[in-house]
Amino acid sequence: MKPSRKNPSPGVFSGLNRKTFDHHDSTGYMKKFGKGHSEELVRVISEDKGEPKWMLDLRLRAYRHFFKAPLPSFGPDLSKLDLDGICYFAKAADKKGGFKSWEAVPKEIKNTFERLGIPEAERKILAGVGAQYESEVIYHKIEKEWARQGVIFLDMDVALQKHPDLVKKYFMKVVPITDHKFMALHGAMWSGGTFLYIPKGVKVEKPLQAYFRMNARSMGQFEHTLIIIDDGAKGHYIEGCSAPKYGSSALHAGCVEIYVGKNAKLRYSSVENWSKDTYNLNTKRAILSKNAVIEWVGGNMGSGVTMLYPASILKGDNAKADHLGIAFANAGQIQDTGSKVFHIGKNTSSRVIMKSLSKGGGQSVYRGDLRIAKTATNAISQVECDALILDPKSSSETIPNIESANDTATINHEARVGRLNEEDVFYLMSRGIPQEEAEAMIVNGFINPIVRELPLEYAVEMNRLIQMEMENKVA
Amino acid sequence: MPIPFDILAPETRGITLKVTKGGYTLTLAANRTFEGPILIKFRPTDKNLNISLSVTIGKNAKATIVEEWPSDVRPATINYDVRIAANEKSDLRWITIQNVAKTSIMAEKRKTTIGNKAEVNIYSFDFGAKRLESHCEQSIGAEAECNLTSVARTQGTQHFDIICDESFTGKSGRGEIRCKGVAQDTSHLKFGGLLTIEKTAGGTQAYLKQETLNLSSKAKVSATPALNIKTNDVKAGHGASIRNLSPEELFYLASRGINEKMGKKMLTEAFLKEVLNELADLPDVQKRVTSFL
Amino acid sequence: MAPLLNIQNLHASVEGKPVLNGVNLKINEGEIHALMGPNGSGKSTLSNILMGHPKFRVTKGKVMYKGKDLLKMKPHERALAGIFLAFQYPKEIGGVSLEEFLLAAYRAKQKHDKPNDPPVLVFRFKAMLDELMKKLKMPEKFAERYLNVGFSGGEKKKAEVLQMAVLRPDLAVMDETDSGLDVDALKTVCAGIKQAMKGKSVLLVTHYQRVLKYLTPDFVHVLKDGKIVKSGGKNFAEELEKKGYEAL
Repeated sequence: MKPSRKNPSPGVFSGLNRKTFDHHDSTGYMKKFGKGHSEELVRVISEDKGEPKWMLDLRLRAYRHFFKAPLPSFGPDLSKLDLDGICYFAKAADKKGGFKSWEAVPKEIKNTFERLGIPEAERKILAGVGAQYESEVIYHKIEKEWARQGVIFLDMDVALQKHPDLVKKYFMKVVPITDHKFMALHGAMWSGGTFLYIPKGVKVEKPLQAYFRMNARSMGQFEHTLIIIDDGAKGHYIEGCSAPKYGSSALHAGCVEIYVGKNAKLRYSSVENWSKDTYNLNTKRAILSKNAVIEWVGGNMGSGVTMLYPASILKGDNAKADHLGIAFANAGQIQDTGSKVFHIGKNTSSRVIMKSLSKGGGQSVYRGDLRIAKTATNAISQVECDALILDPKSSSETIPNIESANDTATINHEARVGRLNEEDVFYLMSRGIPQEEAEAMIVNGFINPIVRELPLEYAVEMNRLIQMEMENKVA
Repeated sequence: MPIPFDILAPETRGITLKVTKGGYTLTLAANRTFEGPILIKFRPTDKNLNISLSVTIGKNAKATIVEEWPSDVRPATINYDVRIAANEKSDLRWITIQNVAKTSIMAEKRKTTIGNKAEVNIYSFDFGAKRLESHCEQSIGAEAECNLTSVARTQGTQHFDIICDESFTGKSGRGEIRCKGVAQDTSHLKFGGLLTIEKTAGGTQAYLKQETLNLSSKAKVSATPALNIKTNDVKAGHGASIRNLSPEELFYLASRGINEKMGKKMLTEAFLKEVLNELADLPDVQKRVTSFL
Repeated sequence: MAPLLNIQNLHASVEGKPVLNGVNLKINEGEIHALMGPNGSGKSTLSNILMGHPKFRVTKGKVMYKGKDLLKMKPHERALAGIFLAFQYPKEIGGVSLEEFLLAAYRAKQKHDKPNDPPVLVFRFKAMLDELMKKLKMPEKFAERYLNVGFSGGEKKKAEVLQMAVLRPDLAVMDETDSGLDVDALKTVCAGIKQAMKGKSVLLVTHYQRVLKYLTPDFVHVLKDGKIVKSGGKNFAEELEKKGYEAL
């Protein structure tokens, strides 16, 4: 049967609509900690987790720096973000390291995950699942195969306990606490997240995934993901997020640090669909060694205000980065996203394909930064960012910054902005396809180069999410 | 104070120059076609310049104005503010050839307002000044057209920061911004630009392009072409490229006995000269520009 | 007498892949050689290597031209020494007119051959150019167009031959000059080559036998898998047409 709006192709999340995502379980555990931040809270968090001293020191240094650092001087207005009104830490269960099996997870938490389709997904495609519920990892499982090969896939807190030297070697080195204000806050308050280490020469074919969930009112999320792909290794990591709708602002200031070793490769896929009142101020950055390759494939659908610029540092010779992304800004949303690439080694190359959509007054902004260092001989970079503005109310901005300090670089940047081509829509309608569906088909065609790079089930989710956004009348 | 420039035209009827408190105003009468280029030539001087010029092109008027800054213009600092109003249905071609002394520091602001159904074509050739900060803004009315071509070449330790903005406020406007630059030695060349299409400017077609040749391992080049589009009934785009001369092209020339040095010179000149083809009716301008290459 | 061009055991690769695997070929003054072979045999590679294209790497072997080591010479030095390559896909170079370009090349050659003579006067050069263009049946204003920009396939090939006629090389390497030309254009081009290269040497690289009707070679070689597998006189070409490359 051909997939259509009434009968979408079966996928993991096909039975869901926005209502599912917006469901929340009332939880009593939020009463344990109040709102706001303080140095005392930072110490309590560290003590509660039983962290080594160097981590507490890092948190304190970060906290102090947070006060010194100013808000970003560019991008959307963050003045409505009330940093004192957010709860920075809570525990839903006292057990660390997750549960050994699905059966052991508490019922109310299980309900939430079941509605989101985690168990089916886990059975079907995933190698291991790390899920975060209110800043604490509840459920975690690693398939025996990966454990045998030495793949470490744990929640960040547990990784700090079990592999402190490995964590210390890499933690907040790619994105230091001084990078910007929200990284300082992150350094102080971080909790949970994923630690993934793939040893030398190991190639993990099945994608590894972690799923976050923000639930209670005004939650701040500061998960820290640290991915290390050692020399000659290969992996595919999928990050997907969802949070229910709330009145007061929720803040997401997570951090993803990635190291790709010599001759290694990582594909990092993410579908971010945060609630419409969230501030998504994530920082994602990768540093590449010789002959390393990274592929960022992402979709940004939700959140109220997003500032997200995945960055690739091509330090080693012949390193390569691919940034493929979609951003959809619907009514009341500002998607300020882009890609940053720094060419440092010789013969490095990068390709950025960004497709953005804006509808119902949404604002989509592409903010790119491409820099060729003096040492980056023979760098090649190709950037294409196209924007489709779906109605007269919406807007699109493209602000790429290109700098070159090496005369052997070849850089090309192109962008096209417009609306749905009336003739194309008319053509499809003349073949019996109703207008809304015709428009959806063309939009899908527009984003297809990105979507087809996602694993099948996620491609379906992406298409469904876009459809939902297209159908969404003013919020 | 003597006027810092001379105005030369084959016929002066319809051209009025006034000295006001704030600066100078130049008016071209409405409903006239001005034959031959009107030349505004800046006089040789060592004194610092602070000039404000306001130009009005009358309704339905048609003219070509060539603004020249020769190398004997040698002040330590030059501040230049020029406002051009091209009234409804006028047709203006404005060409600037800037080759001031390489010891001068020049800051200029150029604002052009293009009235409904008017057409303006601007060509800017920048070779001189030690430091140049240039900000050109064009504001385009309904059914009007404005094309800006900025050609710049930096040598030695020159620093050029050239910003070209264009904004569309009326319906069905058209415009293209084309920036072509060559950076040599240890110079810095920066092209910035913002193309804005307002909510009221449905039917606009606009494009912004920045192309730079970075010929030296010690030169620094940057391009920031930005788009701010606030309505969807548009066709807009931008492109930027930074590259060196193509080794394949150099090989082709070498295969005909043209050595590398000569080949580089030919290709660099070719890159900048492509624009001159459009000014075939102004052979003097073509000659002047070519002489600076 | 020593050959004009002597290729000995030439091995070459492109992007790490071997393309030529031991080519041996001798061309004497005044001889016309045809080099044929299936696609991918390395014909274009050989042409480009003779000119010194940076993409190709010589891994073994020697090439002597007029008694000198050709591989040690830079591309423009080889051109000044009298080698001309008519490219299969000539580059489009905007901003430089065909005329301007040829004048620069002609003067470069003059300076090299007769350093004490004054450079040719522009009007004399134009007159010579116009005459050559007439012979090649090229329209008058053709030389004012930018080098190869917007030229049709046939026009590009003719422009290459025009360049050759102006520069008067001692060895002309024609890389598939005949492809994409209709019969009339082919006849004109071949007549042009014959005239310009009278008494000189030509290496005609081609896939089709058709051109050999209008430009009779003294020798025909077949290049297959990067090696010359068979050589013969002009009758060999007819044999090839009947039996094809597979028969070798």
